[in-house]
Amino acid sequence: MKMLLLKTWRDMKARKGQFIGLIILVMLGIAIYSAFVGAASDLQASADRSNEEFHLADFETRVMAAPTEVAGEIADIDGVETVQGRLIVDTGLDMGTDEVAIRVVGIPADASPAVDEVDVVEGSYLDSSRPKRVLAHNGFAEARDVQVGDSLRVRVDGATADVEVGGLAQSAEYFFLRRVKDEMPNAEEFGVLWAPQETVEELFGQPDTYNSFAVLLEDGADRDAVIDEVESVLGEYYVLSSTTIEDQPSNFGIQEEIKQNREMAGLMPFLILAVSAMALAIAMARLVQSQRGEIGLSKALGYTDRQVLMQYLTYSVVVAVVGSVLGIALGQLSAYGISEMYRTLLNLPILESSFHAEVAGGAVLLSVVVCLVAGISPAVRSARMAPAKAMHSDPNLSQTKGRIPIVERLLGWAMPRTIAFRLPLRNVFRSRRRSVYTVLGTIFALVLIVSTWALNDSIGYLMAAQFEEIDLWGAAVTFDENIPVSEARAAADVRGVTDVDTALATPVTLSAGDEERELILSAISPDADFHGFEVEEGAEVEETLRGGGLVLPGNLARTLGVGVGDTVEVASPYIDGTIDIEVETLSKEMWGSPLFVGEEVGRRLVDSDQSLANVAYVDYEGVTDDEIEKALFAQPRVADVRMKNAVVEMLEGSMGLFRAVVGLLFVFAFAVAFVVIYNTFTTNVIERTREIATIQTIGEDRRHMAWMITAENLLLAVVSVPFGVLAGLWAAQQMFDEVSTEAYTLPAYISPDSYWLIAGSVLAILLLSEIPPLRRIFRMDLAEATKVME
Amino acid sequence: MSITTTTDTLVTLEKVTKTYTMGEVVINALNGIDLAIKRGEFLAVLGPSGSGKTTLLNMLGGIDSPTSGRIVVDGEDITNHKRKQLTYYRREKVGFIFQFFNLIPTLTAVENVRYAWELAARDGGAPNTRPEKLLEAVGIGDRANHFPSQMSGGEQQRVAVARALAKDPVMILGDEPTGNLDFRMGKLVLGSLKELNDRGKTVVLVTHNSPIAAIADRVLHIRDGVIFEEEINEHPTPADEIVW
Ligand SMILES: Nc1ncnc2c1ncn2[C@@H]1O[C@H](COP(=O)(O)OP(=O)(O)OP(=O)(O)O)[C@@H](O)[C@H]1O
Ligand SMILES: [Mg+2]
Repeated sequence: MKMLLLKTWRDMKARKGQFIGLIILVMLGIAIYSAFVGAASDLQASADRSNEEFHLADFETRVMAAPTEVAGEIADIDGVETVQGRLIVDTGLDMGTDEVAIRVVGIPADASPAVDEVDVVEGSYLDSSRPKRVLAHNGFAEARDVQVGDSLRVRVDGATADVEVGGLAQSAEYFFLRRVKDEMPNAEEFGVLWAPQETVEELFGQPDTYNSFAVLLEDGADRDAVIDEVESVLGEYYVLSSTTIEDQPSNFGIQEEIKQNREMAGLMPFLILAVSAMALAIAMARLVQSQRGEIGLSKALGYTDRQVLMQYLTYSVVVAVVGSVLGIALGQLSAYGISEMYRTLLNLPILESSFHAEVAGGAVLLSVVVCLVAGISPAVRSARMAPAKAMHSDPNLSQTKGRIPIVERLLGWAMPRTIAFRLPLRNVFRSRRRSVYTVLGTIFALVLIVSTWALNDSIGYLMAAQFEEIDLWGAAVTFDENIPVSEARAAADVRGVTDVDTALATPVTLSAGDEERELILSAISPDADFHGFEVEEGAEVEETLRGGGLVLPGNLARTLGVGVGDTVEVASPYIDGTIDIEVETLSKEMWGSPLFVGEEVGRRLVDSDQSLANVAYVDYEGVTDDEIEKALFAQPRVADVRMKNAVVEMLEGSMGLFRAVVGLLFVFAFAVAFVVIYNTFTTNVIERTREIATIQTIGEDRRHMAWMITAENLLLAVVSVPFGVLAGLWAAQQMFDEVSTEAYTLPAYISPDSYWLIAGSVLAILLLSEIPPLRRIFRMDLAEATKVME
Repeated sequence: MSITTTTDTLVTLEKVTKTYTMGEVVINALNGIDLAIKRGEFLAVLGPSGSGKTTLLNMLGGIDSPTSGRIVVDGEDITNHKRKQLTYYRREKVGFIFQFFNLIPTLTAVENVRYAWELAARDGGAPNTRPEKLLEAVGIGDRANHFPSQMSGGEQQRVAVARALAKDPVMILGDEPTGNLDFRMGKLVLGSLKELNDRGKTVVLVTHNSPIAAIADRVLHIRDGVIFEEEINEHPTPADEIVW
């Protein structure tokens, strides 16, 4: 037995490159898988702990205005542990060059609130003796370069009031800086100021008023029951909403990111792990297969089948174990890096990083099983072989059956007759098993490279399509209520504005059969051109808008189970009952599910005789973004101005992390692809050592040798590339379908530039992978190699 | 032993040694070989296993270099040849016949021969005899388009003989070319070699089978890396009379 172990050791040394290749394969597969899955759970733990430590409210109830004493009544409700009343006012902040939206939150001046804690990161907490001192949100401060000691000009009823920044702070309510769930966090355009409650009351003329109650529940309290009671206590003050922690805008956003990260972890890294496993299986099988001669020898020397089997299993186990240990270490390190990147992006103050034994265990188990299964079957077959047959390896009967491939039979007349040309061609088809292994290896490699790249390109494609073909406006102005279209069109007089389209965006409930969706419906004029439509099915959009029909995104229609000609029921907050509208057009949308109707339907939905609007989409020319933004803000009744360029820029910015992750995946994919192809090529050479040595012995030179090997590999690659690209796009589409919702679909897309990049990477991998086998060829000991058994 | 070098001397070996070092162990495979081979000579090298026969042949064939000493073949001193020079030397001057035939399995019989022929043609004029003719010469012209896997061992080895001939080398080296053949096939192969020799090719044949050596003009007995006896066959036995 000792002898066999020694032999295993020698085998490993003799095929050092391949052996290390297999270990790296296992390592990379496990590393990337455990890194992403680990990062996803680290992130979840970090978010949970951050929420806990910063006492994020279990729910928040908003009212129009309630006297501050009512907080005491809420505190007395069974199940309420703590309640914090606040006066919250959304207004503007004059930043000189431009205007940003700001939320002013009234909190106790002497100590941080007990719920939705405000944690000072720089400067000092509020001071009741200095009522004009406020705390600014740290993310906002950073984005707008606001420093401790700066003075800020808050808009108050048409005038402005100056406050001084006494400190920068963070709060679980605003880790993800936004007011509502579907808003893109944009610290450049929106900020939070925490001020003494009394100051807010005084500034906005609302003495002794709270309009928000943040509640922490006792353990085991029935949340729904408590919310009901709180709403009944606050009933007379007009309850606007109660938002639970799951729907809290910041927390919701973070949980969504974590979910996406987790989905991503379930896809690409799993694909890499799966490809590694398959490549490993093939490599193991080939390795054992190619050692049949030696297996026979061992048996001839008197080793039993079991001992021989054990030898190969030892080999498999060593690969699995060493690869796993390295993979877990690398995975743990990468997991930390990935969670840290996400933590920074999501603005979480705490990073929880732990060792995920279950993840690592799963990956290791998989790799050990793969190694064993892959090693066992050829080892068993070899071990069962009669020793003489295996050992003799019968050189009289050459193992490779020669044949002339079809291509050559058909096109041979057009090819050079030289053997140096024909040999590579014959080698491509010499053994079905070998070709299949090689082609599969190359396909695996391509799947990884193509699908990571599709991940990158598809997002870019989606953004380009959205902002160049669908969102055809420059600025979107939101009014503080529904106003007559003629008033909303006033923006047309602003200098630089070239076109204004108005829309009445109404929250609606759309029902079709058993399906029901809360959506935003826009009533627009048939001439409006701020939104680029692509009709999937049905009437032209203009016709539908004129005729009182509904334009419905095709994706949504399919999940709702409706088509052109069907009728859906629409309910809005302004009317009792519902309105029936016929679906006349199915449109193709990339992002979100925008619904469109004509102005007449709009009037019915808000129960009004005249056409109203609450959004104006503006095109402009010859003025800067800042100028137009400021000019639009200065218009009457304007609540918010969104600039498309700013949105795009912000999205591009947040893509940075995504790109980094894709880049990381690409590096892993490239490495796995390299190892897979390297192993395949090396094995292709090792498997016919004697033949290659013979060719050199009869006088073939290095240049021709290298050309023949390269030609053979390139031919194999050419056969594999189309399949690989298709399989890669298919794999990418599968992954995207997994993450797509009815609100957005991601097409698996590769940009023309990327095809070059992919071709370049593949070529680089092919050529790099050739170096070691070629070196092996050039260094062959011909005397020995012409005699080896194959 | 003194070597007389004359104009018809093809190969000269002077004090050739070859030492293999495997860790601590040093093996002297060749221990000072002095040898001259004449043009057109049929030389047999006979000796027990491990005596250094293959090592000697490798030195002659340029697939290994001596540790010390000097080797001159056809006026070319190959002792200190670099890999590349050795490649060209093998390509132009040596025809190999291996114990296990070593045909390229993806090439047909005639293509195997043609490959060697093309190699020789690469750096100059193509050798006179066409591959097809060579196969006919060794008696398997009808097998030209068969792949090695479709041929018997003897047929394969005769293809190998034709391949060795294809480049019109100055000498043919065979390391136990009959070792893997049955008696009848072995005789056919020996016959082919003898015929070549009769037409003037220099042949060096390694064997551990003394009856086979009877075919040669001269027999070297080697043991422990030295030539300890040399035998001249005044009347070499024809191939079909050899029995072993
Ligand atoms: N590459 C090598 N490394 C180490 N030792 C070697 C090597 N090649 C040959 N030897 C040793 O050199 C000696 C001569 O070997 P060689 O192969 O020339 O013998 P041989 O006469 O051809 O034997 P056989 O009849 O068994 O083929 C032997 O002891 C052998 O073990
Ligand atoms: Mg030998």
